[in-house]
Amino acid sequence: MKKILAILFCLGLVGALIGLYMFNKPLESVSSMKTNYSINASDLLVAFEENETSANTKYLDKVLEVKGIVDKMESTEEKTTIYLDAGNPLSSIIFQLEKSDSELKKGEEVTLKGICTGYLMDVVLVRGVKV
Amino acid sequence: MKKIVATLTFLALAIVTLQAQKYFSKTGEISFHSSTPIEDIEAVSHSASTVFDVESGKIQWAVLIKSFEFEKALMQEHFNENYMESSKYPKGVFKGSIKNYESIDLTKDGKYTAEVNGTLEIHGKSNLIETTAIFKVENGQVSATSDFKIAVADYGIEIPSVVRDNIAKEVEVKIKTNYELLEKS
Repeated sequence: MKKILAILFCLGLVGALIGLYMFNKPLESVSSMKTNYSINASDLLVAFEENETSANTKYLDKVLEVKGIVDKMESTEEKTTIYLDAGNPLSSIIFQLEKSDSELKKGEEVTLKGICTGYLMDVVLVRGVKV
Repeated sequence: MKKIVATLTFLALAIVTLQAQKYFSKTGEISFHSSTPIEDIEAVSHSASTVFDVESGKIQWAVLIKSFEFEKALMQEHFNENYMESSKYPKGVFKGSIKNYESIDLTKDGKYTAEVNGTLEIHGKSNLIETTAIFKVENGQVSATSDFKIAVADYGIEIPSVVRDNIAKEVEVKIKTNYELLEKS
């Protein structure tokens, strides 16, 4: 009887610990996530410009690898933002980087991986990393 | 004749400059904070878009709900899936105007208090917002900050009773951004 209680207690403790772990789990790094779609910067912008609803259905929350040329970079204390040229002077593909990356340079062709959050004037991806 | 041409050129330039009085940013920061004795919840987006038209005093903000980042993965999931239904309502949009825009001169260094009112649409529901914003011009660089409170219930966001005590009824929203002058191409 005592044994069963002890086992139950242990199981309960393990369950509680797993629960606590799950609850406090930080965001997973995108670099270890599986890529859903690989696409060119201009193709991605066109997909949202032509039909935002269907592009949302396809790309929202998905892990995307986007290839393009770095058009502009903006850094604050908290965030680095990369603009990929998408063949349109007003709109681009915007990546918020997971952490600042000093290797990225303007004019360079890169592939960035991130999670697609949707379209405002630009297509915005967050938690970006260089592939 | 030369004088006329010069005057006309000057006028044309002046008009172009006047029309170009629009400021924008695509990296506006919006954060919100919910505080209860049980739990503090905080999230931030660094990719809000905003345009401020100095000539008319009109100001707009838009943010993608999915661009809000939380410290805990599970919180972010619940926020998107259960509360904000961000696949159905992907954006939060504020459209408003600045009442005293004539007293704000963004070409001169200084600090200006703006009275802002307009409509905030989140989760498919719109409500009026009235707040103040501070515009700061330092060495020609324009920045703006504002904060206000919104009631979760006003936007049709249902919080299940199990976690009702964990989430504040009023959420504090803070916004800040650096504005760039929109150049005519």
